[in-house]
Formats: sequence, C-alpha cells, structure tokens
Amino acid sequence: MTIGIDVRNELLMILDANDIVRLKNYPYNDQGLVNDEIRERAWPILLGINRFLDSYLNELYKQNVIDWMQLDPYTFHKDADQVQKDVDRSFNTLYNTSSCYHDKGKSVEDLKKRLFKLIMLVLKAIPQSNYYQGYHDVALMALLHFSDDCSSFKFLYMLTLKYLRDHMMSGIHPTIVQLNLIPDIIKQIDFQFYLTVQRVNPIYALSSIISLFTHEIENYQDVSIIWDSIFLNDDPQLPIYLYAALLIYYKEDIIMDLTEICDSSGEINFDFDVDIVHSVLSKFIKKNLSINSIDSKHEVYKIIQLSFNLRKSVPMSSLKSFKHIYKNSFLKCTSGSLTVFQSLADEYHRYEMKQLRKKKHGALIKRNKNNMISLLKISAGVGILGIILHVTFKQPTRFGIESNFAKAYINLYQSIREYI
Amino acid sequence: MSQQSLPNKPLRSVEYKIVLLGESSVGKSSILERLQNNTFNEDKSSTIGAAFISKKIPINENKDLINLQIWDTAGQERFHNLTPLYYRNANCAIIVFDLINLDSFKKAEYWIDQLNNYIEEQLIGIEIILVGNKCDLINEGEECSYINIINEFISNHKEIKRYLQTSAKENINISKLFQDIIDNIDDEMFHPIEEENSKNLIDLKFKKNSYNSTSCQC
Repeated sequence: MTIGIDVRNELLMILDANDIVRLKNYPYNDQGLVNDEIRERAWPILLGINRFLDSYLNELYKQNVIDWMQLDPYTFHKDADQVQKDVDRSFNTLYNTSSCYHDKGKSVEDLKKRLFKLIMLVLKAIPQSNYYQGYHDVALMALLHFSDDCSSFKFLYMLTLKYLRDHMMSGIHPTIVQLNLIPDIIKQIDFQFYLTVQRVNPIYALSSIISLFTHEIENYQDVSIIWDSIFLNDDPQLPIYLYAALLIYYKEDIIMDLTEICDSSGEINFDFDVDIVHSVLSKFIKKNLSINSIDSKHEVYKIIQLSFNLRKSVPMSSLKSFKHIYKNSFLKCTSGSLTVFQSLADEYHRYEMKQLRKKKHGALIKRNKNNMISLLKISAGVGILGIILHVTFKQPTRFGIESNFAKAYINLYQSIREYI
Repeated sequence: MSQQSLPNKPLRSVEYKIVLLGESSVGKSSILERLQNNTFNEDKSSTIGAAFISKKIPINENKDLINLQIWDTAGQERFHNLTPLYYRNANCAIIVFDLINLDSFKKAEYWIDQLNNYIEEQLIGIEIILVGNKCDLINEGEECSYINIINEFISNHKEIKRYLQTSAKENINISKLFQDIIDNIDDEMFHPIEEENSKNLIDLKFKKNSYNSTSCQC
C-alpha cells in the first residue's frame, strides 16, 4: 500500500505544479491514477482541456443550459426518447460498485435526471451527433467521476470528440470497420486462435468498444484503471488493442467454454457453432471480469500491459483492415475538434450515398435480369409456336383454314415483336 | 417447463433457434430473463448489439431434448443493419411490443415487413409470433388502448402464427409463449442422438463453412 501512497503523493504534486508534460509521461503502474480525486483533476488535462478550451466550454455549457431550461427535451435533441429509455435503466452494477464520493446520499432519481441532462447537453453541443445505446454508460462514468455537472459536461464533450466520434455518425459503418481490426491483430499473434475467432463477424466486440468497456466490465474501479491507461497514453487506438488483449488473456477460458458447450450439445452442425462462438465471445469479459472476480485489479493491469505489447508488435497501420478505416476516424486522426467531427460526418455521408447508388444499381441489374428472362421465355414461346405452325402448314389442306392460320400467325408474330 | 430428475437419456434432439425483435425497452431481455431464471429486474440494462441464451428442455418423458437457442437483439434503430445476422438461421421470430406504447407497435409492423422480405428472398420459413408485453400495466377489466389497431393488423397479416399478451414482470403468459413454441416444433426436425458421436465433436480449428466472417450487412 505504501507504493500507492507514494504514487498518489507524486501525482498530486505534479497536478499542484500543473506539470502537464510530466503527467502525460507518468509511467504506467498497477494503480493507474490511484483514486477518483486525482482522476477528477488529471483526466480533463490528459484529454487536452487547457485553460482556453476550458473557458470556451464553460461558456458553451452555460448557453446550452439556458436552452435546456427553455425547450422540452424532444425539441432539444432528436434522440431524447432513446436517451431517456437508457438512462432509466443505467443505474446497476457500474453505479453500485462506484465509490462515488461526492454523490453519497444523493438519490438515484436525482442522478438519473442529471445523467439525462448531461447526455442531452453534449449531444446538443456537437452538431450532427447521434446518440447510441452504450453511450449512456460512458456518460454515467463522467457523471460519477466529477463533483459538478459542468465538469462532467466538459469531460464528456472532449471524450466524445476524441475517443467516440466514429460511433456517433448517423449509421454504424464507421464502428463496424473498426471492429474488423480485432481479428486482424489476433491473426498476427496467435493464428490458431484466429481460426476460431474469424469464424464470426466481430460484432461480439461492439458493446465493449462503443461503451469504452463500461457496458461489459462491471466493476467501476476496473473501468477507471482502464480509462487511466487510455488517457495517460493519449491513444484512441488503445481500446482496440485492449479488446484484443482481453481475447488473448482469456483465450484458455474461451476455448474451454466452447468445448464445454459444444460437447454437451450432442450433434454438431456448423451453423450452430457460429452462433455459439459469437455467444461465448460476447460474454467472456463479463464472465471473467465480473464483480465477483478475485483480484480483478491485478488481471486488468496484466491485460493493459499486454495491450501495450500488442500495440508495439502489431501497429494498426500494418493491418489490411486499417485501409477501410475512415480518414477522419479517431483511429487515424487524433485531433478532437468539431471540424474533424464534421469532416467525418461528411465522409460518412459520402459512403452512404455510394451505398445508395450501389443499391439502386443492384435493383436495376435485377430488373434487367428479370426482363431478360421474360424476353427469353417469349422467344422460346415464339420458336415453339413457329415450329407447330410450320408443321401445320406442311400438312395438306384438310379444313381449308390455312389462310386464317397464316394470318393469325403473322398477326401474333407482329404483336410479339411490338411487345419486345 | 421445469427440469425434473430424469432417469433416461434422450434419444432425439432438436436445435431450435429463436430471435427476439422489437423496439427498445419493450421487454425483450426481461422476457428471456423470466424464461431463463424466472426473475425480473426493473433496472435491467439495455442490450447492445445482441445477447444469446440457450436452454435445454426435455420433453416426452425425456425421450426428446429441445435445445432452444435464443438471440436477443438491440432495439435501437442504428443497430438494425446487424439484425439479419441473428435471424438468418432462425426457426421462429418473436416480435415484441409494449402494450402501452403505440410507437412500439409501429416498430413491430416494421419488423414483420422486414421478416417477410427476408422470407421471400431466401425462400425459408420463419414462424412469426407477436407478443404484446407489459400487460400488467393495463388496468383490470380494460383493454389495450389501441386494441383495434392490433386486431386489424393481425387479421391482415396471416403470417402471424400467434398473438399473446404477456408480462415479464408479473410472469403472465411467458411459459405459455415458450410452451406453445415447443408444442409446435415439427417432429421431422428432431434427429437421433448418436452416443458415439456425441463425444469429441469439437474441433477448435473448425472447418470453414460458407459463412463469411467479413461480410457485414450494413
């Protein structure tokens, strides 16, 4: 514990001296930033909130609060309804395990109102931002870590721009292309294991990535330490490496689970397996890093170390799937400005347009294909009719109707030609 | 549906896949929690992406074993592009809406349209069951405020096999919902369990099948 106190004192000294360079270069240790008191001061600095940005954000907050008081939530932002639904069911394990030192004694109902307002204010402050399920858990961390709502706002605003903007577009594609990096990283490290994970679409990682682990890791302290590692490294790529590290760290457990489930299920059919793989992969974090885990802090520290190693040995830029990452993604462009957010929104819009054109083109091809098929059918019909009539004409005249037949044949032929 | 102590080993089994679809916060995950643990949690957190549960149910005096594999999906619209991943192999889709929220019923209509398109394209059969949840919130002796809309919709959509009003909170009709599904599983879907083959089946290298991991529906 003495180490903890030393680290704490040293960090407090650095913060008192406002020594930003030293804070940013502070060597990572198993305590992270030790406690919430230090986090409350260090996190905003590590996110780049300097004196100028701070006063700008104070103003922005004040203005938005005025709007908030005057408008009803549904006029304030289009996603109010979804936000409300998620806020109403936000206060479970993460909140229950929080030390929450400045919120002791406050009612959950009051916290729900503040969380709702916090999310709405940030959404409003970032034009073209879209709320997603999972963001509410991120926002809850912001709410619980700061003693006043304005500080939570400033922190969440910067966090959103810098670390979450890809997930806030009007569609999910910029997020999905990020997830594809995960199996690619595993491929470089453990090919055998890759063969298992590549069987399924990496959607299993969605919840962890978009919620910055808050939706999957149940213990508030564990999430805080993970966030320390991300912010101290000032690295928006780290969450992807952290996820890959979690997979590798818990590989044995994952394989054991797969073996167990598949063994007891009787006959194997391969489609079934795909679902089981998906299911095991989307549960392994909650299972292994639950609130009941003994010494989860130690495991989290080892996972963070592993993620640093992965980042070193498998640079993202070397991966095939990195090419598909948006130019203005936070994985490629670390600036957390509104301008980059807008550029990403434009980039996504272009992608959407392209998809729409492809879809229209696809529909056109399909229609042409159908036309071709009916054309072929008609041609075949005409051919057969021709043969029948030809045979008929070759017969000696018995009923004296050949001239009528001939007329009908020509009429039919012409009308078919016109139709085609 | 409770598992009793059963002496014999089942002779036949079936994997039956179900997907739950519907607007956010209508109670999809709560219905599954009721099925799985017979509990209810007022503060159940939202489902992101999707969740999966499986439940083994012995029937016919343990001669047959049903393995229900259920995908629970996220309700928020932005995740809808992912949903075909979960209903692509489904035998049954449970579309859930909230009896006191008309908008959630509109979403149910959307899902039925989506499924119909999918069924038409893929030429497969998915049994569609419509569930109006939160019936405990309707006062006793009263009906859902938009019952006429529901009835009209059902009479216009013959593909809806069954309609049930449930409450995951008060445990109303949840067992019935799944019992009906179990009772209606086609006998032809069962296959014999072969003793020798049931061991050492897992090959972690996994044969690669036609499912392409990189293809995404969005």
